[in-house]
Amino acid sequence: MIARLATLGALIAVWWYASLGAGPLGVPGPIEVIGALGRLVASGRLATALTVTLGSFAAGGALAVLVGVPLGILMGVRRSIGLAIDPFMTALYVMPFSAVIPLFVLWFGIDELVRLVFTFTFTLPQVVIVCYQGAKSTPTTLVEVAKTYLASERQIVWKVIIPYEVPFIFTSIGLGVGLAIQAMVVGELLIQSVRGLGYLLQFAVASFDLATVLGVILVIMLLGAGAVSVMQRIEMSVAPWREGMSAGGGGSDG
Amino acid sequence: MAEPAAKIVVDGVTKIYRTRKRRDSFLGRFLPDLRPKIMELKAVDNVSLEIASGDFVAIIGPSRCGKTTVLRMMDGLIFPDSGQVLVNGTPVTGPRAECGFIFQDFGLYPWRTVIDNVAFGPELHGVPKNVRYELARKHINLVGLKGFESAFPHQLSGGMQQRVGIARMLASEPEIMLMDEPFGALDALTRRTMQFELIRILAAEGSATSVFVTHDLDEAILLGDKVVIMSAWPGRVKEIVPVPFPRAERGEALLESKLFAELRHHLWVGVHEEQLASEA
Repeated sequence: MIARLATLGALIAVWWYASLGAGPLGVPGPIEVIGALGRLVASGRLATALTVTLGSFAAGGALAVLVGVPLGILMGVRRSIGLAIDPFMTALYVMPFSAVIPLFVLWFGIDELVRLVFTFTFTLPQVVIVCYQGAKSTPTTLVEVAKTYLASERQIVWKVIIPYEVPFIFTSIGLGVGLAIQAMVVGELLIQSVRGLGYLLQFAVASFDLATVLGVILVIMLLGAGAVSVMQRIEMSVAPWREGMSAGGGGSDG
Repeated sequence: MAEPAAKIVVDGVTKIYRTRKRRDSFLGRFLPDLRPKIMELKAVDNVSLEIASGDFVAIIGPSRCGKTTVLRMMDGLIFPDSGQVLVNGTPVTGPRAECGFIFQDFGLYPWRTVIDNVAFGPELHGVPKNVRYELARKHINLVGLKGFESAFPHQLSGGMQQRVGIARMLASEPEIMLMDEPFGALDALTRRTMQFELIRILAAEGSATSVFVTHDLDEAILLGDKVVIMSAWPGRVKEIVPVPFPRAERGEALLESKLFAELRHHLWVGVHEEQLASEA
């Protein structure tokens, strides 16, 4: 904790040093940025933009998790489905998002719906791929133990594969949160929306208000780091065994 | 046939593993075959073995001689390409309730506490929580883990983890206990302790039929009534050596006796020949 605070202090010091003697288009200092943020909060513009942006992006991210986790597990359990879908998920994963945004805007408009669809398609492949890899990597011994005790296929899925997946599910949600936030920024900038954080950023850039730009970016970073650390805490309380888990062994032949 | 002649009959089984590609040479990594090549590896070749009710049989042999393969066929985890395995007079078509299995790498569920790992078998078969916990506690006490019921596997040492594995097998009350190098992953001192512990636990549990695979000659003699020596790849039965010591005498003192040393030497010569053959 002390080390983290020291890092924060050092970062602020470098920032402050860089801002010394800067002109109106140079680096705004910490004090100016905090002032700008204060004005944003006081005027209520930040709160409005956050509600608009976060709501639809959280919905898109949540939807990606709701669809992606079961799909990834299904792909891992049923190898034929996995092999059938895997290449398409990879294709979606490498799709250039900045290039498809204009299409999305044409099809879904510039409001909540396009944000939701965009976050969903941006986040889904990551979540699916992580969960798929997790289900596939279930150690054979753990499945064989269940078979030895005459577990049905259903029991193997619910009592072995899904519990084994829990850490992967959390990893995928953590990734999903990170990606949804990236998606949020890229999306807002490219969608040319008239509300939300992206609009706030564009408006500030257009009026050369760099302190506000930096302030909004800081808010986004804090949101991301906060969300990821909340996920980690939930994971530790749901899967405490993960802390000491080493790689599971596979089968062996004497 | 009212009473089957033997508890387990292994009748001329052969098992061939098929692998896609062989990349075991250094150059093979850089010069992959253009066509995927199916490699056939005969793991066991025409193995026959009869195990009587109440017998404790150790299977030893050089690495990769297929001893684990034979054990896994008895449990119905894998199936022979020819020949068959009979348990209680009927062919094995999959895992069955009579058999319990102990895995070399323990196979504990890291997300389950000790008691929930031990109660796993009964839980699958819908035994109510209080009944299965009572059953689990009894076996946890037997293996010497009282007080660790709510610990997670990663909080236990390797020896304690395998105690959980033993308790889990005992909790489903198998007639036949199959053990695949149960102490192979433990250090030498822990392994010796666990061997004596297993003798004590089995004495307390009564007369189940047991088959176990090991690399450890002392272990084979300490625990086995018979020791099956398997030949090098492909595995065949080379020799079956009876162990003359009554179970009650199997303790520290036996390890120091002359007869024990002679028997160990006999097994060593038998396995060593095969080990050399497999490396040739």
